[in-house]
Amino acid sequence: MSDKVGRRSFLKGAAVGTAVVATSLAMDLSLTKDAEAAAKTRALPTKWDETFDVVVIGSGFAGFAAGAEAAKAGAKTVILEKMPTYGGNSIIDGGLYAAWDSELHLRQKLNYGDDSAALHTKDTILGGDEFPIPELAKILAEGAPDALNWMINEGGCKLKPVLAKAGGHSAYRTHICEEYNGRGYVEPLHRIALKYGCPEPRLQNEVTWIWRAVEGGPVLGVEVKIGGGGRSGGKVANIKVNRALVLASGGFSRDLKMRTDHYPYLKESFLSTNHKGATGEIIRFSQNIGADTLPMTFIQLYPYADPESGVLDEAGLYPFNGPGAGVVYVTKAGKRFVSEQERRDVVSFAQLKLGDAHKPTYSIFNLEMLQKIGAEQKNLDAFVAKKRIAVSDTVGGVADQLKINKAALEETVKKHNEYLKSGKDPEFNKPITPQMVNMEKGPYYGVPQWPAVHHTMGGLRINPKAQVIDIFGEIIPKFYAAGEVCGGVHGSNRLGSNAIPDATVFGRVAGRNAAAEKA
Amino acid sequence: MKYTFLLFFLAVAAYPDAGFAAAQEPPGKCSTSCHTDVQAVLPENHMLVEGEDNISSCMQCHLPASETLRDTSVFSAKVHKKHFSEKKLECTYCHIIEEGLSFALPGRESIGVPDAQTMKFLPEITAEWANSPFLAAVHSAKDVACSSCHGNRLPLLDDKPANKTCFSCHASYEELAAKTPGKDHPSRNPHGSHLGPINCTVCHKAHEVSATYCLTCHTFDMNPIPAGKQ
Ligand SMILES: Cc1cc2nc3c(=O)[nH]c(=O)nc-3n(C[C@H](O)[C@H](O)[C@H](O)COP(=O)(O)OP(=O)(O)OC[C@H]3O[C@@H](n4cnc5c(N)ncnc54)[C@H](O)[C@@H]3O)c2cc1C
Repeated sequence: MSDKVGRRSFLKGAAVGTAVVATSLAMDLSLTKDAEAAAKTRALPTKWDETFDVVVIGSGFAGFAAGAEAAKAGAKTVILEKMPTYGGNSIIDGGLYAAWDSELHLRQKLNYGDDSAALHTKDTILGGDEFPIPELAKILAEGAPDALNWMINEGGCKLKPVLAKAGGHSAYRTHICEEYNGRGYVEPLHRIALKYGCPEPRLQNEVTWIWRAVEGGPVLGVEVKIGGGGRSGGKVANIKVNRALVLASGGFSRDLKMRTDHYPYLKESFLSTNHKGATGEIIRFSQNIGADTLPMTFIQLYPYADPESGVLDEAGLYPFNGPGAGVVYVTKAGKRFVSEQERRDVVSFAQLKLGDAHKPTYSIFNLEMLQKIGAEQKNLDAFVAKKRIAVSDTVGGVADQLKINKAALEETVKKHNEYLKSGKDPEFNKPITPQMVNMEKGPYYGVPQWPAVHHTMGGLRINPKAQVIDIFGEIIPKFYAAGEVCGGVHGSNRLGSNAIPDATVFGRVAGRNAAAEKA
Repeated sequence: MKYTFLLFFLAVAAYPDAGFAAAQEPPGKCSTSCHTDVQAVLPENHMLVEGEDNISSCMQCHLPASETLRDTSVFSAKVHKKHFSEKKLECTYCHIIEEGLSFALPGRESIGVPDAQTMKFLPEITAEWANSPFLAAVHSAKDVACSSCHGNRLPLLDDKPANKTCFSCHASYEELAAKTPGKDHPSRNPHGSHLGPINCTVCHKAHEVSATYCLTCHTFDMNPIPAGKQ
């Protein structure tokens, strides 16, 4: 314990030292200010307005899962959410959930081959270029089926009777909920949380500070800004945590400063698929009390967002789910440019390398493929009416509508059909499976696509118990984190449909362990 | 001290103008310069009013919202529109207000503690309710007063009425959705969004410009929102 005290004091001393040097060197006020900011130590509150056993920050998959488990374990729990609506990125998410099995055993019923926790773990680690911390990837994969069953049994989650083999995965393991969006899991988790006595999330409650004594020791509580807007300035309250604080505050794709500080290339001109609240203040407050982070530079582009708005709607999910069904990605010149089975980073950079003049690229499907990945006719018709996607009885017709080189596209589809027959893709070496559909029969569909900032794989360092680790490798007491706010689970590249199991599984772990802390 | 209104008014017809509310003993009298014949301003079939020469006579039947389950909004709306907005009487002409302590009608329980902020904004907000480009004014035009949305207590600056309050007049999300499909694409329906039944107040703001939350992410056209940006 005395050891820890020393280290925290050292931290403080170092920062103050910087401030002195900066002033004496150049009298550079802005530098001094930065140094001060780095040593932000505010006096602890003298009184607490409220006390809870477990305080959860954020109301997405991770937050509701943690809230549910903590309340189930008997902890007096509260979920704080800064936005006027709950759900964060989770509620606008695509509803794709990777699990190597579930009680519905879809893979076995569809006769889609083998899979296992070990294979899912391996794909996750290789997909992240060996950067993922193996224990964490393993917890994700092993816990995925159980968390899915939990949502089905206790939360009323409903899945489509299909499975996709999405980019970067070596098995058909991507489950798709009925809604084809994240609400299909958020509402089940919300229901489970309420059932176990976790109250409705408090909306427009923004955490503006995390309290921990300068000398170290456990996290003590949070400062919250409540309400505001219109004539009201809102009010500020301090909440004490008895057992533990759980961070479930999501990623920082929409935090332009944090994003470009770590990855300057992802300038403002990049659109993002994320909700507006995906900013990094909670990571900053955590760093300020000593938390370690894993590479914040690992930020993922989603290759198939709506080129106009960056929004990731259901139409923008078809290209991602399509590879196992045989989708073909083409440029305006009607040519393929990448193996469709590639990871998101590879597909994104293959597009960006083409240059802005080649924005957008397109996914070409026939109806049978789209049916295989759960697209309903009424939704396809609606997207066509909105001019979000194009449809025609012929490949050439789709080319005409989307202004793709017609002869080249016809040739590309023809060649791709032959690759499926021969089981070989000599152009891009895509692994061909028998489930891939030969595009001999229409109607044909085309979906425009372009990369947008999507997921921040970097974030706070946690251990397998979801405890936040400080820069010296020690546990920060009473401090947990789960979901996209954490780093280390996905390494340099998150596999699509791995984030829901990540947030849900670790949310549960964090909630249970937080509730088990001594008050 | 009870009088028959009519007689009373005749007797005090020449009573000096109350002037500024602060200078007068609350509550202000009805008879001063306006209602020499109060019965004359009442609706045609209104019963004869007996009682003191101030708002408390009305309160004998038109109970304050805090004391009845009946909808008192219409009375409150009409009285405020006439006396506050049109005749520019101060709040304290009828209400007995002590900053930091109480806010009441004569002879009634206090309905809340007005802090300095409330004291500052209440007249402004009430004026806005009576006449402004905001949703509050749409409500005042239909004689819907403060308590219908804010409940039976002094409104707080941070009040965000719950959906069930809105639905006591505006049916339900389902019925609203049936009325608001997108013009070109029915699925672009603000009441049938993929966020589910969010709080009405996320989009509909009574005292500032309303704005469709969908459009914070999406760029497509949607039907205009009432009292929204023009
Ligand atoms: C459009 C889209 C589609 C996606 N599709 C998929 C998919 O199909 N499959 C998949 O596996 N993954 C998908 N992802 C990724 C996945 O949705 C996210 O990684 C996941 O939702 C993160 O969950 P979370 O609980 O960690 O954070 P979130 O769901 O983002 O929740 C965090 C919450 O914390 C709140 N918060 C932040 N800071 C504060 C503060 N200071 N005070 C109070 N509250 C705060 C935020 O407002 C937010 O509501 C998608 C992401 C997007 C954006």
